[in-house]
Amino acid sequence: MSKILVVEDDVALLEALETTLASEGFKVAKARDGEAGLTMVKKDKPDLILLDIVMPKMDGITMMEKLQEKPATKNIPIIFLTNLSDVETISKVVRQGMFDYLVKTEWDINELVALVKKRVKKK
Amino acid sequence: MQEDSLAHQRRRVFTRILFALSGAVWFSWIIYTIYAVYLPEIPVTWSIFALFLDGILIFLVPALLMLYPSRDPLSARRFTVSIWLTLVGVYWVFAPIYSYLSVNTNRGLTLWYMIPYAWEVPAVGGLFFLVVYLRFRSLSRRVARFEASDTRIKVEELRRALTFFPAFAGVLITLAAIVGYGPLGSLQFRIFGEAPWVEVVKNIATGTTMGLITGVLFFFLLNRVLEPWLAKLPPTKDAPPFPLRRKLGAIVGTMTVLSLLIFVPVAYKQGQAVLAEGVLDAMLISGTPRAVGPRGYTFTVSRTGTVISAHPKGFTVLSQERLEPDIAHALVRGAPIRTVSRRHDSRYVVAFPQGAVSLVATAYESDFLARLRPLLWASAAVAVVFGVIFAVLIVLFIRGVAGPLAELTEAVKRMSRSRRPIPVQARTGDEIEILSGEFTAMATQLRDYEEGLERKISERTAQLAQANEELREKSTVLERVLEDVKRIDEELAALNRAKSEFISMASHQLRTPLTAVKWYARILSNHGIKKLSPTQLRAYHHIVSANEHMIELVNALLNVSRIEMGTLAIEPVRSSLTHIIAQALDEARPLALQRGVHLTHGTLPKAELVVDPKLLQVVLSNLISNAVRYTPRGGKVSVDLAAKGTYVTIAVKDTGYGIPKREQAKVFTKFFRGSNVQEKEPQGTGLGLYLTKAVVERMGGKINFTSREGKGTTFSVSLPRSGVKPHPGIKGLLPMA
Repeated sequence: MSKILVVEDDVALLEALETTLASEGFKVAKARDGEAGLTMVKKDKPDLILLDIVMPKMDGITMMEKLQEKPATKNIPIIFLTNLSDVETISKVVRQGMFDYLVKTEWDINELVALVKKRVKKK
Repeated sequence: MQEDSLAHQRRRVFTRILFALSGAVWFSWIIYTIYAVYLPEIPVTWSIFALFLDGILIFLVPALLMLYPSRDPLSARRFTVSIWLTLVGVYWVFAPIYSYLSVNTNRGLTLWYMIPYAWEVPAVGGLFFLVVYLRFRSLSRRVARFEASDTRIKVEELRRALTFFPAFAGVLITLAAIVGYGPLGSLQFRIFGEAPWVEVVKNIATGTTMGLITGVLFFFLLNRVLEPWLAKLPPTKDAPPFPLRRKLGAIVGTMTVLSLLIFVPVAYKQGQAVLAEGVLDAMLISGTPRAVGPRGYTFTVSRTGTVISAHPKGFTVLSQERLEPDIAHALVRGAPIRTVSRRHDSRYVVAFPQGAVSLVATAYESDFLARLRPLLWASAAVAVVFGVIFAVLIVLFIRGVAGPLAELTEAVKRMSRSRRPIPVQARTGDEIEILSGEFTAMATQLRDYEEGLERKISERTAQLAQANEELREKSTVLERVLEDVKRIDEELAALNRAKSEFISMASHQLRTPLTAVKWYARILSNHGIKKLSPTQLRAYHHIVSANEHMIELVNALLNVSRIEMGTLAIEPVRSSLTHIIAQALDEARPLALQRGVHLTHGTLPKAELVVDPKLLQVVLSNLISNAVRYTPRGGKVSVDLAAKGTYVTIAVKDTGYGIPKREQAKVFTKFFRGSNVQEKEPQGTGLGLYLTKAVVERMGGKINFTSREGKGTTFSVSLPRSGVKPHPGIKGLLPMA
């Protein structure tokens, strides 16, 4: 059973993601900010991270950079979920197709789950 | 420029000597001529010639001095001197010849009588020279003074003096003649009688006396009278001498002399005529001795010299030896001659050969001159009177015309210098008075005009200054207004930016809850949409569609704010238009299929253009989806591409509901929705076309449409062939339905 970590500060969205992923048979861990996210990764390394960007305490990009520093966490696949769509942020994040960058409002949640399945399998 | 070289000085002295000498000779010549008038024992032709020379001297030389326009005083004098020298030379050459010819005694006495003539000239001339030299020394000093100062003008004065000279010369000559001939002549005759040596002494004495008197008188006048008078004249440094006066004075002098000149030969001629008359008269009565005048007589003489008959009153000639030399001479000649011999008190002797005898007649000129003398006096008096009258007239004219004219000239000069009118009033009662009156009036007018003008100028200047002030005030006010306007403009811009920012932020904030609704709706459906009742199902669908609408709206608002805030990035690359159009069509195909609208395109030529493909895609998608949505089932939507001139045009044509005519102007405004489609297609933000237009225009292109309600609409997007210019920005466009 694959482990997914969802890092999202909005409770409603967090719950929606947890419910849907759980019903698909994934084990879901939750974090509401970057710091908590890092703690969760340390506790139990996930197979994929769904990462929001705009969060209090530590934002998604910083968390990603922190994960990149450690070889153990470097290769965890990340899907960014955000409503930001500025070029600067996107270019910071999308490196050689390593990460996906999804705009929340554009994605149906079923489609999102399908992508997760794809990315996790690729691991 | 005065060179004070030795040569120049010597030349000057020499010139002066010549000057003096010629003057002296001139005088002696004049006196001699006058003398000859009274004692006519000289050949007629010679005396006429002498008179002619006289005329030249008297008239010509001063005339030349008058007319000679010389700048160099030295050359003027030189010229005068050379003329005089010529005349002197002529005199010196001819005088001895003349003396010789005039002698009417036998040859033995000829030489004797020639010597006095030869003596006379140098004696008289020498005395003249002496006098002249003595006087000339002071004159030379004066001349030197003239030369030292403003030469030209001083020489003008000298010339002026000399041109007046003829007038004075005429007076002097007359005086000299009167003084010389009258008392001295008769005195000499009475004292010395008829002896030859007496002749010499007499001539010398007369000549000397005459010379002395005239010389003294001349130089006395020149130095004591003329020169002080000249000195009293105003200095001629600024004002040139008034030529009028000088010219007129010269004319007067010349006229006086001319009149004398006329009278001399006339008188002489008269004398001759009178004498001839008397002699001829006697001659006509041949053979009879008769008296010719109180002392003359006629007689007949044989060839051997025997007096045949004689006048009872005169003395009897008994033999040839006892014949008087001139009578004997006349007999010897054997031809009628008329000789004048001064030896015998101007006696005429005429001898007419009449075969074996000769008729002789003698006559004493003085006897006949008794008749002539009054005539001579009268002529002289007339001449003098004429001259004086003329001189007076000239002087009056000078005073009447030249004077006022000079005054006028002065006043004009002063006025032109001081620029103020100086009234000139000449009371001459003629044109000059009128002229000066008019001139004063004109000058006054000019001054008034000038003053008036100045006043007007100062008025105008004041007016201008005032107007300037007012303008300055107004411009200050205007500046303040402009500043206010600028401020307001800036505030408005700031306000606009704030508004856009707010919309952007608010829209962005809305996205999270919108996502939540979207996902939970899906979760709901995932967990058993079949369990829902039809009402619940309908409700569910409405929730989903409303949510989608909201997402669309928020996206559109964010796009609007990106465009308005200038954060939209335009990244043009060389793109295939065909490809972009194909993609847009593909995107719209599901919707078209669902709506039952036929989607097509015309022949798409291979066209490449430098554009931002993402933006163009959004634009085309918007237009195509609009076309599909607003076309009823069974309709057609087609896309065409054309390259025309400097633009590439993409046209989206539909056979849909069209846009009502009265609403066509508002098509590109925010939140516009056609009134005829709001029922049929509730979903629509009304921002699509506004955004499309904004994006197209930001790319440097144009968008327009044609539409007919109920028939269809065609939207055309034209992009410049030269390509789209990049624009820096941080955001792209969010998808719109």
